[in-house]
Amino acid sequence: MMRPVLVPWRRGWPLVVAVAATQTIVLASWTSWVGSWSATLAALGQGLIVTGPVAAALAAWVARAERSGGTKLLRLASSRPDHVPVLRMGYESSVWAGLGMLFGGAIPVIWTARVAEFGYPQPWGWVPLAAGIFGVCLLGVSVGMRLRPHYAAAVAAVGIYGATVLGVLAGDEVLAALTPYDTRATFFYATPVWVYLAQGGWFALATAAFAVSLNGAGRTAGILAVAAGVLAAPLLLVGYDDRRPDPAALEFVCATGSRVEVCMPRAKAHMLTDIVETTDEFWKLADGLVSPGARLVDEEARGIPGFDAAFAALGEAAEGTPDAPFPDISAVTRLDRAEFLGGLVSTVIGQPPAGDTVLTIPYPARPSDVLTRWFYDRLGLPLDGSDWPGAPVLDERVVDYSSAAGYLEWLSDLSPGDRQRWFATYRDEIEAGTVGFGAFR
Amino acid sequence: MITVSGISKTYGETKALVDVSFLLDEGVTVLLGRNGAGKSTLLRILAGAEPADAGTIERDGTVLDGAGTWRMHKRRCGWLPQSTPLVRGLTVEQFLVYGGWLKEVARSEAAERTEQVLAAVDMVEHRHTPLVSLSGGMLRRVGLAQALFDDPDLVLLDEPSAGLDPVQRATFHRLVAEASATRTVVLSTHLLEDVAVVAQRVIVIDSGVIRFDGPADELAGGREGDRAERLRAGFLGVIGGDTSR
Repeated sequence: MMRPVLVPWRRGWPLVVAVAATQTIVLASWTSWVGSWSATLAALGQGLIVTGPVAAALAAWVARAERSGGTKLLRLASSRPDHVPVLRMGYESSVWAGLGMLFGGAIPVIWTARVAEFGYPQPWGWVPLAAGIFGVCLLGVSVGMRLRPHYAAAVAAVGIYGATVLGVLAGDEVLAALTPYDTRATFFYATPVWVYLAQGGWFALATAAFAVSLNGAGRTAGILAVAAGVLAAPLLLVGYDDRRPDPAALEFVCATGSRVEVCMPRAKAHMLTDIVETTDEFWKLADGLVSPGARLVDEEARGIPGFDAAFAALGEAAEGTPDAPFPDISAVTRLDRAEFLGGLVSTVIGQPPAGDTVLTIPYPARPSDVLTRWFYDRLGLPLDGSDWPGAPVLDERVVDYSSAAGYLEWLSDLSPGDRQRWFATYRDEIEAGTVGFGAFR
Repeated sequence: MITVSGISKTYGETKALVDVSFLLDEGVTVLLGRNGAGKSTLLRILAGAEPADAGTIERDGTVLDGAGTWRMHKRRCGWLPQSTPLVRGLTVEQFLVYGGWLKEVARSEAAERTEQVLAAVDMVEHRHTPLVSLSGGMLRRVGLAQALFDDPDLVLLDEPSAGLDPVQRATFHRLVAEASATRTVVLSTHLLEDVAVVAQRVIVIDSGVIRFDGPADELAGGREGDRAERLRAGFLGVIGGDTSR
């Protein structure tokens, strides 16, 4: 059985290599996909922003042979409708490009399969990716059959990229709803299978309609365009707010340390151990400022249907965590200890009222500055504000500690028991930022 | 039976074909004319690769006037364009299967047809050779194999022996003679040697107008000398290049 091949390996290998290389470079520059099935899928889709134009350009280049006089005439004299060879060539080009995408996506997928502690591969999510590759290759081939090779490759690449930019300008939500650039796949939501199928279907049909119309088959193009519209319409009605929350992802998992219990959605539970250890470290130092035995709950999912019920199930002792910073969210994301501790410190030491704002720099140290610096020194956090975006600058360039050195020394000299009692005594003032130096004795 | 009636074609200000009419039946018909006489245009129109501005083509009594009739015609028509379709990256076999697919040859028949046409043009041993590696003569043979792939009853060959050396040309003449045994073959050329060897009937075209349509022997006339020379004299006489006839 012989199968006609318009784009054999000899012609298709540049597509495989270029798309795989581009995909690898793009994904290597991001880390948000690491270890998370949903984030990996989203990253592969968004990678199309770069790999799409590359695939289209290469497909246009591959199609250059179809422009040559003899081959073109051969195609025109064939009994098949003019658009059929174009569709076939687009399809075959997309097979090679898809292979490149598989190679380029293999590392993230294998890595995720090894380390993911939550989620599932979502194989249907590959449907819009495949359709996206088919669509851009088909458009590339259509252009490549018409323009000079160098122009065609450039026009195809710029055209695809420009269409993406126009999509963003038209509305990020619309782009996400209709295309593989879907950013709605997160930990807490599951995308229905029909959405993936409709995304793939409408895009493939729409690009096919365009390619067919270029070859003069207006009626076929019209039918394809209508079918594409029918598939796309319901997608426009599915917004961010219509996603289906994944109850398993919202379920809380708790871990208890020596002084605190921390609860997080199951989707992020891999960070629980680090958070409990770090929080215990802070709690021990801040004894008196915080209540022992507190239960801290990660509230990132607040607002998602199902969160409130899961939150209520934890009982009355639950309270929200201080602003827990996670630089990105994935299954191998590890806690940024410094930023997390800085957040904890800021929740127990309030800033002075606005009227006490000092405008000169360096300004004389205030009680809250002394307390914050003491915590930073003991926790080993940097004072120059360099460790995370928005970190406070507490060194001598900004704060003049010359008149407050004695207070810092006094605080350090206190025994743990004395300090716990002192913190407990002035807890409210410290939290409100109204404690004065008079209390430091 | 192909009936060509009143075919005209104009490119801008240039009249490529003017009211061309003739009948085609089995055997070899040679379209003879100078470069730019309109031979290739006529073959492109017969192959369905290009529409005529005016006129009709009938096939076995059916006027080719719609997508359906043209589709049936194209399936039964093999065509070797003037420039051999050189598809980079394809081997000989892949190219033939591609051509067969364009002609809607069933996949189940493709392997058998490939074997047959490769054997017919003596290219079996080159089946896996990339097209870009072939010599000009081999390329023309592959082109002929492509034109014969679906066992068409109408074969259109546009300047098939141009650029071939004498040995290759002799081989090509043999292949054309074999192909014409059961088919209608229309061969365009400006080489009188082709006419002398394979032509049963000659249509002389000049400036898009048919100047002569008849048996090759009639064009050669009763002159002295070898056949090619007699045809040359007859051809020049028809197009007005020689007044001694």
